[in-house]
Amino acid sequence: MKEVILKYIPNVLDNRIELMQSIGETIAMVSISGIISLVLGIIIGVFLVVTKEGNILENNIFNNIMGKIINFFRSIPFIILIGALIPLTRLIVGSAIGTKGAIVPLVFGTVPFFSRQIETALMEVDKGVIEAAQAMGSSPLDIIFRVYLREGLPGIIRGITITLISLIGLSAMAGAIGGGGLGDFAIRYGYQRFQIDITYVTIIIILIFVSIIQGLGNLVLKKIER
Amino acid sequence: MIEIIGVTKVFDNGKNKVKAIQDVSLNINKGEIYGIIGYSGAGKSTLIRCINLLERPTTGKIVFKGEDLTALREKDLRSRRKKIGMIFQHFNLFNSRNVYKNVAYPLRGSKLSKEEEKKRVLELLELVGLKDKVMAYPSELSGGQKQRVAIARALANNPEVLLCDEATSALDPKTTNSILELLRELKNKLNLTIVLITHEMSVIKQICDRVSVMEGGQIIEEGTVAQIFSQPIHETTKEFIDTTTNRGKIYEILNKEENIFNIKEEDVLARVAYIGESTTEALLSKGSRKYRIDASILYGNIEILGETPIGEMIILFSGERENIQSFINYFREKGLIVEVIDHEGSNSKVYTKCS
Ligand SMILES: Nc1ncnc2c1ncn2[C@@H]1O[C@H](COP(=O)(O)OP(=O)(O)O)[C@@H](O)[C@H]1O
Ligand SMILES: [Mg+2]
Repeated sequence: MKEVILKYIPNVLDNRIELMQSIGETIAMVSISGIISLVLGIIIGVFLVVTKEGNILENNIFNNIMGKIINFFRSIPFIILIGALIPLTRLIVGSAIGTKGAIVPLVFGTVPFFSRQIETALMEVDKGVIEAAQAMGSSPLDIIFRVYLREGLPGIIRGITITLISLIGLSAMAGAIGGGGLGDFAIRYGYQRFQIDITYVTIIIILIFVSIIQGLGNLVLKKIER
Repeated sequence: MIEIIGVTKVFDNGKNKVKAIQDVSLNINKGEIYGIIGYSGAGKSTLIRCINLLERPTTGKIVFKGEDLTALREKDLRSRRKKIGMIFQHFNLFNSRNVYKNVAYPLRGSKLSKEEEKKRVLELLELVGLKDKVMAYPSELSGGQKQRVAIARALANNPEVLLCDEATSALDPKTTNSILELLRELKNKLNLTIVLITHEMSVIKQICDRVSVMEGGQIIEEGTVAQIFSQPIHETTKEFIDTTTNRGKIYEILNKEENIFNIKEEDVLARVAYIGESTTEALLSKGSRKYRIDASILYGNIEILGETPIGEMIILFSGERENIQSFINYFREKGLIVEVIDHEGSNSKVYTKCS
């Protein structure tokens, strides 16, 4: 076993402590920014839907502005967004580097995408069902929590899965710039020192992460879908 | 119970305006089943949705139990809506909830304990005949069963009015009948007032007391179902009435090239009609034996309007000419209306429609 590892991935073995640390950093970045993004994205997504024309809290001005802001952030390439957000990042978390510094740009990079995912998921909820709830005397708050978020759950789970997977990608980029995480690890060793085995191992680890998220998503969907 | 007063609804999307309802006024009495019939696009859904203000009228008032709903604040309107149940063409059940949870949905906030809620839900499911499906999900139910769940859900808060927007239009005829029967039964049991819209005259015929015919956003004719059936005025109304019988069809078939009923030259074809109770069938077999005539019914129809049955048949008599004549006279003596339909042999197309 040891010989095989030494033969094929010698550099990984040499840097295994740092590899473990990078994995931890990636998990930290993805879960913290993930949780913040999910909460913000669901709130914004719900607002995007309920303020649409003809919907329960119709508000064209709000809806328009919200849509424009989201499109604005979505159109900025993430690598540029990271740079542009440095002052804000410093202001919020006190530092623009390291795992901590990555959280702010990750949230900004993820929330617009995730909000749209939520919007799509909630738009799939049958309009007739919303009407039935209205006819039964449900309040807008009732309709949001008891109808939209519940009936739209399969779509929301799908959105969460896709978003977390893309967040792993973004976290590698953010880490590479600010330092920390698997992306940073792969760049420093695999790319800059030509230790290609490190790059491959990193890919495999990320692949495992993605599979776990996808698998969990599918599992939950199977449980709730009717 | 419900007064629709001068309601107009204009849909305005900035570019063009659609006048879906034009100055409609209606009174719906307590305890009646009121039907609104019209072709697709006539404005029926918009009108019924105006009643519980799912659609806010552009002008006009909706008065429910003496109170103008259009003047209420949102919160008060919501509490009134609990007294106006609604069911839909596509059932609109919560797919993520099982039957129990669907029916329990509107009970939230009604201050029932868990036990009381359970009792109420089971009671409602009993009422619609679905007690064995408590744990099923909508995707596991047939259309008729889904509509029963929807009815139970709509009745959860003891509404006084039930609005039905094409509630049977997605169902097959047999299921349609069972749902209509259920509605009638519930109306009597719970003292409901029902407003239903449909594009099928058969639905109106089956359960409505009064009916409005709608076209182009307006009510073009209104009356009791018997009135509308016996004396339709508007062309559209007549069209709707024709859809409930196959009379036109039978003449079409008779005039076709091939002689599918195998009518012979010496046979006699007649339209036999009766009003009120009749023993036509008994007379038919009795007369057939007595005069040694084969009598086959090519077409038969009974309308029951209010309490009065109106029956109509097209009968093919074969046998001796004189005997047929005696048979017909016998029918006439017994009070049936008999009109002989002209024909000249099996291949000619001279069956004339008699009115
Ligand atoms: N939300 C809406 N926006 C614009 N036009 C509408 C809307 N709802 C209905 N209409 C129009 O109003 C008319 C009546 O529609 P509807 O009430 O659904 O008719 P029906 O139920 O009799 O088929 C149609 O011309 C339809 O296109
Ligand atoms: Mg309609």
